[in-house]
This record gives sequence, C-alpha cells and structure tokens, in this order.
Amino acid sequence: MRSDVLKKLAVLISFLLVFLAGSSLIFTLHLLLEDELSKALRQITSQLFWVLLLGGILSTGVLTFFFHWLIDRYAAPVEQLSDQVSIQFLNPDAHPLSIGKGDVFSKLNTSINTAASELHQQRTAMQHELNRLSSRLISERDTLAAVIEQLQQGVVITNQEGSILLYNSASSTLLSFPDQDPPVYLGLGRSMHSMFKSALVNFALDESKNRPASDPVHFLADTPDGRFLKVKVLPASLTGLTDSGFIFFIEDVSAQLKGKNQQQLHAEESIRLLRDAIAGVRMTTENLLDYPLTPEPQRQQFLEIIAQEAEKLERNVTNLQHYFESDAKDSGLSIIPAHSFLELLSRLALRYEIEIEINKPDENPAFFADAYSLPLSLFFLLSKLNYSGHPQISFKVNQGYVILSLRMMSSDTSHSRIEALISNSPMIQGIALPYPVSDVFNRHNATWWLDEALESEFCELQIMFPADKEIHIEKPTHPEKVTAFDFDLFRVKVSDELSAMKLKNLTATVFDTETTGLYPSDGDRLLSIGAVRVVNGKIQQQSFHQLIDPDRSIPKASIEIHGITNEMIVGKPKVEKVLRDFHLFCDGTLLIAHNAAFDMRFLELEQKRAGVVFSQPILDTLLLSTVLHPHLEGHSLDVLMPRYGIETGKRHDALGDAMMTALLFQKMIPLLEQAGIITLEDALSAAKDSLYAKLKY
Amino acid sequence: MAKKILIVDDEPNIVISLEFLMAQNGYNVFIARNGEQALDLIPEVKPDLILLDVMLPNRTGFEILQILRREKETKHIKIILLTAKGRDQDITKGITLGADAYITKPFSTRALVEKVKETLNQAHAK
Repeated sequence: MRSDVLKKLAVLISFLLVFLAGSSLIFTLHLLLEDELSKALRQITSQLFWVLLLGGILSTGVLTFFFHWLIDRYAAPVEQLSDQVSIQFLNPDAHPLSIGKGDVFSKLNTSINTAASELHQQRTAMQHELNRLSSRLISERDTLAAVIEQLQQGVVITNQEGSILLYNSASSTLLSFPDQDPPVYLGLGRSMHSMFKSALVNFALDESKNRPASDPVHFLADTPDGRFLKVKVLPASLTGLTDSGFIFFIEDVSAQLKGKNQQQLHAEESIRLLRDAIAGVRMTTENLLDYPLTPEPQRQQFLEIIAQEAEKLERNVTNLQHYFESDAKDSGLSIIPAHSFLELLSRLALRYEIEIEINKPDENPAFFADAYSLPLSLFFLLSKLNYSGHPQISFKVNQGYVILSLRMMSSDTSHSRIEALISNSPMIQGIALPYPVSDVFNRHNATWWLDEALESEFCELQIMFPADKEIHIEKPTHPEKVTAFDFDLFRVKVSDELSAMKLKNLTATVFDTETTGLYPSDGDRLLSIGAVRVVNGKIQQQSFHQLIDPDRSIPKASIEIHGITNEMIVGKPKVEKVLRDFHLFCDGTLLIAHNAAFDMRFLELEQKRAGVVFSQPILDTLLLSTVLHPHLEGHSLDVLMPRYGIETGKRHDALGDAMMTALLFQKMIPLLEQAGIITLEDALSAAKDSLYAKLKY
Repeated sequence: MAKKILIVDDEPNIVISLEFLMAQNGYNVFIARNGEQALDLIPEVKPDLILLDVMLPNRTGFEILQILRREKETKHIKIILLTAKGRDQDITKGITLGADAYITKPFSTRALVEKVKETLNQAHAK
C-alpha cells in the first residue's frame, strides 16, 4: 500500500483503535467489577460522556498525528528509496541519494550510493573494453576487406549452401551480367547456383569438402557472354563459426585459352609445313646430285623448287619462333610505367646508399619489370663501378623499346668489366639475390651495351627493355568500390520457414514504383521500378532502377509528380522485360514497400503481361508504422522521414523512395522487436490486424 | 671505280653466296671471318659498306659497330647489319648504335642487292 493512501487511512485506523480501546476497557471493567461498582461506573460514564468523547477524539487526533509521523519518517523514505535505487543503478549521472532522516537511513543511503558508483565504474570499464575490442574487430575486418578488394582475382566467400557472404569488386565485374537476358547479378545472399550451372557448383562444393585445402578443386566455367572463367574452390573453415563455407577464386582466362589454342594450332601446322619443305629440298637436291646429267629444263625446274621450298622453310620457322616467344611472355613480370620505375629507383637509392640523379623525360612508356630484382641489380652494378659525381639515370624510347641509361663519369668502365660484373649474383647492403645479374636481364628480355664517347670522360650503360605494346584498357571501375561482405550470414540458417525468420535476418527487396496515374483499372501503367536489397538489416549497394515504356502517353498531372516525361521513356524497355528482370532481382527475397497495396495492384495487373508471378510475402512499412504508432496521425513517407530522423533524399523517384523505405524499415526493426514483433510472421499478422483496425475506421 | 664491300660473317656457306652475289653486282668484295679480322682489315681496305653479322665469335657485331662509329676515320662507313629474324631487340639496338640498315636472315638475294644499292646511295645522315 502506498504511503499517501496509508496516510489517508490513518484517521480511520486511529479512530477505530481509540474506539476499540475505550469500549474494550469499559467492557472489561464491567466484567471485573461487582454490580454496584459497575452501576456506578455506568453512571459516571453517562455523566462524563462528553468528557470521554472529547478524550476519545483527542486521542484519535494524537494517534493520527503519530501515525503520520511514523509514515513520513519510515514508510515514505523506504518507498522513495525503492524507486530511487533503480534509477541510481541505471543512471550514472544521478545525484547521490540522501533520503530519510536518522542513522539507519544515512547508513542505507551511503551503502546504496557506494554500490551504485561501484557498479557504474565497473560498467564504464566494461564498456571501454567492449569498445576497444569491437573497434579492433572492425578495423581488422576493414583491413581484410581492403586486402580482398585489391586482389585482381575475383574472390567470393559463400556459406555451406553456396549463399554469397562476401565478394570483391573484381568478382562482381567477372560475375555480373546485367545486360544478359535474363540478367545475372552477384550480390550478398544470392546463390552461386545462379552464377554457374548448378551441377557444376554442386560438384565443386561436394568435391572440395572431401579434399584437403592443398588440393583445391579447379573448374572452367563458361559465362553467358561467352567468356571462360577459371574457378578454384577451397573449403573455408573460419574459426569461431559453427558452419564453414567455401572460398571461390575466379579468373578470366578466355584470352589465354583462345590465344593458346590458336597458337598451338599454328605451331603444329608450321611443323607440318616445315617437314614438307625439308622433304622437298632434300629430294630435289639429291636428284640434282645423283643425276648430274639431268637435261636443262628439268634442272632449272628443280632449282626453282629448292628456292620455293627454302622460302617455305623460312616462313614456317618464323611462325614457330613467334609461338615460343609468345609462350615466354608470361614471365611473371609486371608492367611498370617508366616514371614510376625511376621514382622507385630514387627511393631505393636511399636504402642502398647510392646517390643518383634522375632525369625524367616527358613521355612515360611502360615496360615489363620486376620491381625487386631489377633495381637491386642496377644498384649492385653502380656499387661496383668506379665513377666520380652522381650517375644520371634516364630513359628513352626507341621502336617499341625502353632504353634505360645510366650515365656516369668514369674512365675505367669497359664492356668486359660490366660483362664480368653481370655474371655475379647481386649483393648490396646485405641484400642478395641467388642468381646472377645476367639472369635478371634475360628474364627481362633486356639487352645492354656500353656507350663510351671517345672525347668525353662520360660513359653510358644502356639497358634496353621491350616496351609494353599492348593497349591497356582501364579496368572498369565498378560502382561498388568497397567489398561487400556480411559474415553474419554465416550464422543464418537458410530456412524454408521464411515466416519464422527474424526480421533482422531477412533478405528483402525494398521497392517503389512510379506510375502514369493512380488507377490501374482505368489504364494507368507502370513507369519505373526502383529497388534496393536489404540483407541482415543492412542495405546493399546493389540496386535496380529501370524506366519503362508504358505504351501510352504520360498525363501532365503525373509528370508534375515524378518528372518522368514522354521524351524520357523513348526507347526504354517494355514492362514485360522489366518485370522479368525485376522478378529475377527479387527472386527468393521478401518484398517491402511503403503503401505496398498501391504498388502491388500495379504489379499484379502488369505481371500477367510478363508471365511472372510475385508470390513472395509482402511487408508494408505504412502498416508497420500504424502498428508502432497507433496514436500518431499521418504515416506517409513525408511524415515518417522526419519522425525517424531520416534525411529526405530524392522523392518521387522510384529508387530514391525505395532507398528511403529501406532506411525506414531498418529503423523500425528494433522498435518492432521491442513491441514483441520479432519474426516475419509476427510482422505480417500485426500488419494484417492493423489493416483491419484501419478499415474499421 | 667499283665500291668496296666488306663482308663480316663466320658462316662459310653464307659467305660464299654473299661473295658471289656482290661480285656479280660489280662490287669489290673483301671478307672477314670475325670481329678482330674485320678491325684489322678496315683501316687497310677502307670499305664503302660493311655487311656485318651480329652474332660473331669473340666480339659481337654491335661492338664492332660501336667502335667504328666512335672513330673519326670509320664513322662514315655504311653498315648493314645481318640479324636473325625475330630478334627484334637486335634491330633496335643496332639502329640505336648507328647502323644504317639491317636485313634479317634468311633473306632474299634480290632484297639484299636492293638494300646495298639503296644504302650506298644514301647521303650520310650522321
């Protein structure tokens, strides 16, 4: 019972107590005393009735006062304490307690305050440690992502079922075919089965489970656009995770495959032609030698045959030579622009303690070089040569070659001196190579010579490298710059019971449409669809945005809303194609839209044209908003954005609105959880109830 | 007066054909089998043109070329390098070092005669 209620009851209790005490006193006296005495007592009582009543009232008053004092002094402080203690333990900034009076309370206050402050201290320390650990985790994770991102190879990590948990942009370039019909997208939560032939993926996954990591599964996969990918699959056992997954390394080998096959064919053909030519030369020459009396016209013919066959020999030897040269090209050297190489030299010069002077010409050709062994060899040569001043290092370009020149003032540098030096393994400042400089030069296909001008005391060591003749096409930069990953997916069991899945673990496509008007039954059509994916409560960068040719003119009133004009839709695909693509984009995911009923009405009408069915469950963020805030008015995006503190982006743009709806859904998840709406099933039934509630109004 | 041509090559069968071909075309022909011999002969013969094989024993054709281009007396001599086909870096290296022309082995005799004529008629560019 609360103390204020107690206080109100105090009068009644006091009165009852006084009444009971008085009446029981009188009753007892009646029982104990003899008749006469009791008679006298009755007389006295009736005579003194007013006095007794007054006494009774007075004692009631005193008693009430005493009760009030007692409540104020003990009951109320205890009550306050019980309220305050929880605040004290929750809020570190609360003032120290000083409730109640007297020794008991002051001791109680002190011990509660001490306990609370100790609790807060421990909590702060724990929070610090938590923050430290999690920031370390995040930075390690980001490092990992950055490393994977830099890989030239495509890297995709999947869980046991082949669902994608991580991929880098190289893999996204290799495995996304948005222009294909149907388009293929790489994305978190999507399955490798949609990237490659299912049988191939199953084979690879099964096989790699049964092999040691040292013996990974390799396979060649053909892509819809006619390329060949070399794929290596490794089982990924990641510590701390109950389920391991797989790592796919992907490389485009179409060029090599095509090149190799063709070159091999050419080489084989050349060898065949060589044999023919040799046979021709040999036979004719032997004829001429063995039959010296061959008449003139025949003799002349034989000689012409020899000339022809010799020419054939030459041509085919050249072909063979090209074959071997192109084979040698794959030497593991990387392409370095000459400027970068000179800069590398000037940095390394400090380490090798050799002073050099760099002259950079304007042109910047690239050549094949190893950034480690080549500079080391050059500095080794410089360290062994006698010269005064600083060597000047520069380069020039000549007919497809980059000629690096080391110019120094030296009187005793000779061809033979350098020839002797390059047969040594380079060693400088304790850094050594296990093979001679000549090997380094050979590997670079480099030739060298020494230019000694007679009149001057300068000599120039020239080293000539084949320049990179290929035209380099910039690697297309993928809009997704950062590796997409979500290790939480490892923990998600892919469940057929979609409805039992938690909202925060769902894979959903959040979409919005723009239309020519509000009434699909009166001929209004879809104009555009925009969508983003939400995986594990995180918005993915991969999006879908397509304008649609609606096969009708767009009314002016609707142009004012979405800004899509009749000119903008010229040449855009028809709804049949777009819906098929969108169907693929949202395959296997939940659909989410704001005021989904509107969009779904259009989708349902238009899907018949495309021959697809959107059968997945649909969540409406508008309905969810009415579930969360039944007493608030207004649930449109315009009202909800500021309510949830979401910055309003491009409104009435299908992708912009889809993005905002996705942000809204993200923010709703914890609120829904607080309200006990945790699974998809919970959300669907709550939305349904809310819909009925709305309809009742 | 007939122009003097020095052939520097170590492959006897090729030398026979070259000698025959140049003589047939009215040149005065001299032969050196290696680089040292060539360097000995040049001051004596003072050739107008040298057919210089790149792959020579001891001293390569490039070295001979460098030496000849350094000396005032031999600077002006026309030099045609004979290189193996496909060794593109040899061609670039040779031209960089100052050869007037090159011809790749195996070559057609007609092309070689053409090239010799053309080179001898060139005004010295250096």
